[in-house]
Amino acid sequence: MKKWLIFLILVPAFLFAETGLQIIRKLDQNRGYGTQKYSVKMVIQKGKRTQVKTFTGYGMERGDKSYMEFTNPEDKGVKYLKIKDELWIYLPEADDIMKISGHMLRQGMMGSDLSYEDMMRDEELEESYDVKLVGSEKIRGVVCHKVELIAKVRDALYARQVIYVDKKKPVALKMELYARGDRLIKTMEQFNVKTIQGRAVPMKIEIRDMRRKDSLTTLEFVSVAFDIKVSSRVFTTGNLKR
Amino acid sequence: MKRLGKISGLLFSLLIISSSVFSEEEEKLELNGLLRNDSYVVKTSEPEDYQFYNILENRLILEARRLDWKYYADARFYVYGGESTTLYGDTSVNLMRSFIRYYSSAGDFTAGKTYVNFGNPGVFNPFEFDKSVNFSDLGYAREGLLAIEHFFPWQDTSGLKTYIGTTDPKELMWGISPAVHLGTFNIGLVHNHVGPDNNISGAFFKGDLLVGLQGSWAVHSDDAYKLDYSEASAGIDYSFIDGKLLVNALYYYNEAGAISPSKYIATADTFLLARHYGLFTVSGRIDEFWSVQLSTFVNLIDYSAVVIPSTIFILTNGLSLTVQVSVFTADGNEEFSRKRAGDLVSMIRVEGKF
Repeated sequence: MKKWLIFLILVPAFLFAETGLQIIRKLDQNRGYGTQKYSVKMVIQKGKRTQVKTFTGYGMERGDKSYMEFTNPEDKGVKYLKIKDELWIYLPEADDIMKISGHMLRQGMMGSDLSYEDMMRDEELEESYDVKLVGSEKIRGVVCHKVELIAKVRDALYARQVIYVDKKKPVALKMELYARGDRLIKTMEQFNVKTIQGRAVPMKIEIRDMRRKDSLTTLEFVSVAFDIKVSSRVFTTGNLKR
Repeated sequence: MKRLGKISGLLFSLLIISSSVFSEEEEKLELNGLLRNDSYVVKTSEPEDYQFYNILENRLILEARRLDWKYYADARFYVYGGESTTLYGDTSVNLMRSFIRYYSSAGDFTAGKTYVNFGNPGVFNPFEFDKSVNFSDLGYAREGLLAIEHFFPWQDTSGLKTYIGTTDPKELMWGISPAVHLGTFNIGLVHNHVGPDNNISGAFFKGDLLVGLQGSWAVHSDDAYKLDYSEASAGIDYSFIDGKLLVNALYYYNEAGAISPSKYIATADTFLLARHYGLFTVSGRIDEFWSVQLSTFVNLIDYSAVVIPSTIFILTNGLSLTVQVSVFTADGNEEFSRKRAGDLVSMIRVEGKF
């Protein structure tokens, strides 16, 4: 009788347990968008020194098309356009548009720990990685699924990722990002999750480059909106000179 | 000083006009500036002989934007010290840009003093009007010219650029350049009439094929389109350690350039008059606040070079410190010889943006 009771308790738990793939699908679904508009404050720290940059941007087709304009006094008017894996930069001082080589997309944006790809590309995890649920762990007191992602396509952003997804919301609270050779290169932690247009959106992200000591880049979303009307002209090189 | 007064007056009146005319939400009126001081110490080839140069640059940028147009002005005021005063006087002023750009369904129209450029921007661009190179700042913006420019876009990254302009009221310049985007490459054609019996025509590309690639080829001809000489450049770039280390190599060929050292060093203090050059650049980011760069210009006829290591520290928001030295490798009658330019040129730059 006791055995039966344990069986009856365990079976539903087994039946309703989420697989790694289901968790990632929910995450992808939550992150996906048709269009996106945002305004960000970026704080770059190294030890006690800090720099503050602000920018606004638009995204389309999960970041396949992305446009950004810096608004802080030092970089005012510097604009970026990314279409798939290509990047163009507009420098107001020269009033000229320059095509940046594709390999530069992995460079830290404006000297930060965040690459242009991290900021402007929103890859679909299910398509780029093999997924494995490896357990559960608490992150800042919140119980999370621990999911391992191994790159299965050549152009995946990272060779391996370990992500900690909130069991109650489709948001990764922490990500450990590994390069080839299984080197941990970055960690990202996401805070202050708000519900915007039915999506769970972390309003603050902290990125640490693990190859640098005392380095921290913080992104704070001042505003973010999804699936708004954005003219396709925004994502053109002609628009950079506007 | 008279010119300075005129420019200040122009900027001030535009500020007043702009602030009174604008009322809609999308309007934007901004005034930004930059203050930069370059101090150079030159160790000449004479024993114990040092020269000091100082250039203080004050930049004022006014930008007014609305949904369908923008006005942009960039005025620069220079104060000279040390030996610089013998070259440029005590002060000078320069209006680099002052243009209105209007956006319409028929394309974007720009009118005023504006920078017109064809081809791949940067050093050794055969289509560049102003081929001067500032060794202490390879990206230093070039002065605009009075022009009306039109850009008609098609698809997302292609378009047709045309302009009519002048640097001398008696002579009109005009040019046309269609550019398309194929695969990962920007590819364009250029025809530019830059003066009487002076036409530049050619093609350029820039893109990716595992590494970054760029190239330009231009022919100079008279008004009967009789070929005079050609110019070309080809470059390759690649980055390592997630973009923290960037390596760039560029070859430049100018058929009109001299092949005899006695000819290309004939004019004192004038460089880059030979037929073949290489430019090699390695730049790296040590951390978020500290970057280093090594640029080397090589004369590929006499193999002399100027090696320019530099480092930039970001002190705080908008404030940076640059330390740079230029070392000339040869000591005979070569282009980059210590006899011509001194044993060592060192520069300290403090730059603040506001």
